[in-house]
Amino acid sequence: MKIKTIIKVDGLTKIYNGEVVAVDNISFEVYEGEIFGFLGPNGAGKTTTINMLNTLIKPTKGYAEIAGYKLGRDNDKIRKIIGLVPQELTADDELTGMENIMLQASLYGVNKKTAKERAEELLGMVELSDAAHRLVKTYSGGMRRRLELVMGLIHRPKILFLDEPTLGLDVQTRAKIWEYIKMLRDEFGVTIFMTTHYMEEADKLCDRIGIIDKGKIIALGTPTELKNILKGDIIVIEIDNVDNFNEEILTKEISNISEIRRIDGKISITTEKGENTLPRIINHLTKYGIKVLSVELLKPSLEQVFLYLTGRKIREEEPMDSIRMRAIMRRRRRV
Amino acid sequence: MTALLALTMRELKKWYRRRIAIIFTFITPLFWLALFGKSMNLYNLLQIPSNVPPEFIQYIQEAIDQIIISAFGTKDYFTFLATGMFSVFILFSSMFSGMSLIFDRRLGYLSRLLVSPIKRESIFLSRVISNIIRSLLQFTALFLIALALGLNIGPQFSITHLIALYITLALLALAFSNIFIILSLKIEEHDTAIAITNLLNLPLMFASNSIFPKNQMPDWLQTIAEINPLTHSNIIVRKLVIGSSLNIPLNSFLYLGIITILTTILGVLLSRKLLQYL
Repeated sequence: MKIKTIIKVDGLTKIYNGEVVAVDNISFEVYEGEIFGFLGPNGAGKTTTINMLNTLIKPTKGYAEIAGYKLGRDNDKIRKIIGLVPQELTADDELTGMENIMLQASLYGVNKKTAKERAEELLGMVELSDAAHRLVKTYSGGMRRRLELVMGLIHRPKILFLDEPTLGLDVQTRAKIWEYIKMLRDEFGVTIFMTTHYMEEADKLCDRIGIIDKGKIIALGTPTELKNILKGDIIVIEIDNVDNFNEEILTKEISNISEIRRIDGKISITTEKGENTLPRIINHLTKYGIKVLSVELLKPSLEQVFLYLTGRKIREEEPMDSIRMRAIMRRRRRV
Repeated sequence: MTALLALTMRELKKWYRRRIAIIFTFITPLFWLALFGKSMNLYNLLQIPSNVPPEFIQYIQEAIDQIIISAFGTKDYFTFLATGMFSVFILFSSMFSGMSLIFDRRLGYLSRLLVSPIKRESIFLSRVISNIIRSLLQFTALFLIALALGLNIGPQFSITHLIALYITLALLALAFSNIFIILSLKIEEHDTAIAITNLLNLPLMFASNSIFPKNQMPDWLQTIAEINPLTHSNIIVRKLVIGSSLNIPLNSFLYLGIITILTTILGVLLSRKLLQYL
């Protein structure tokens, strides 16, 4: 199958208030029929990017093309072929599930009969048929998420934007949603652009992932490619006195170590087959009289990739920057 | 067009489902009509003292009648007030017509609308149309209540008058909902909207001929009342219901019509401009 680009982004930038850079000159491509994910911590610029591409936010700078239409110039055409499942649950909770779906269909000019047929099919798919005629305010969080998916799909979009589709859901519901998302791609050939800050979700669901941090894409590739950045397992060792430690002697005596880094007074060692190498390293350190305080063996995962690239864990508390940015955005909108 | 219809139906459905809220919307109007309208009986206040010689009573009574009728167009203050209140209630219900837009923005439903290919003005117009329908239904109920409370309808009142009454109030509802929805196009917090509403409602009511006749007012207030759409709507409504010759309502019709057209055009243009991006 020939790879076809459906979203092309070049130098896209969003600066709020002329001072807060939410998205910083990003460029990437999304291929037709793939599940493309943006992975990053809260406030990294994921939602801003998604909202620029779906015409909700005006970019400060940069160029983007969606299915051949130019963002900004052809917004009306873009709006016809995309669907959005936003981060917040935005179905009208004073209407029933079915009323919400039918209303959504009328926004896209889908006629009633077709909409009804599609709605029944989609509701069956996400197992919501029984609740279709109940008011949305009686739905659970998981049910509302699934309804949002149906609403995003009722007009058969070519591209579906999913902004944190499983935010705040329990593990089982999350796995279910992943199934539906995969099914959408497989059955309808929808291209999916999604954001998430769940590593496992990105790993299991996405064909390709862009890791985004502080408004910049810091790595892009398939989950396997990204994990290969690590070149193996990571062993993090805490010792009583880092000054006594000598990288050269360690690499000389233990063969399969590919990288040694010092992070925050800890030693991070990249190696293959960590479980075999770990005892040897401890023996080595003990032999040189270095006292080992703690040991951690980390298997390659996107979490490790993010840690490796940024020095931070993705689930860390929100950095001050993003809180400040939101405050400024809020103020800006008020004007 | 389908989208506009569907969005209007959404507004009406949600309104209809809030039955308790609907009941509450009648309480304030009822207070005005039953408490204020019935207790402020000006005609009874002007009782002729008992020590007046009987031969003058008839003349004094005629003089009082003439004064009251020339000021209010009717001897019955309740009828004067009720006919003024019909338009005031249109104002009260229209003031909140922008609220649904503000809540849609807050709750994220607006993103759903903005990201869809609908015409931007249908977001605006759906609220306007639903408000006109709501206001007229409320008016119908209040009209019946006022009749039950003793509204004095002129002998000439016919079905044509009734239709004209509905058209007048529809125009007023259109003008007011245009204005209040335009104000809500970019507002994020409902507190702001409520503050604006509270700031405007009483002054708009008092600076019109709703409660007292305009010609009793100081000049500056008369000028304000002249441009207040309420005044013109009241003039027409009273002419239709009471049938007195307070004024020729053609000018008022034109004025209402022009305000309606202008605010509609402004609303459509502004929603096209302001509802492009979130």
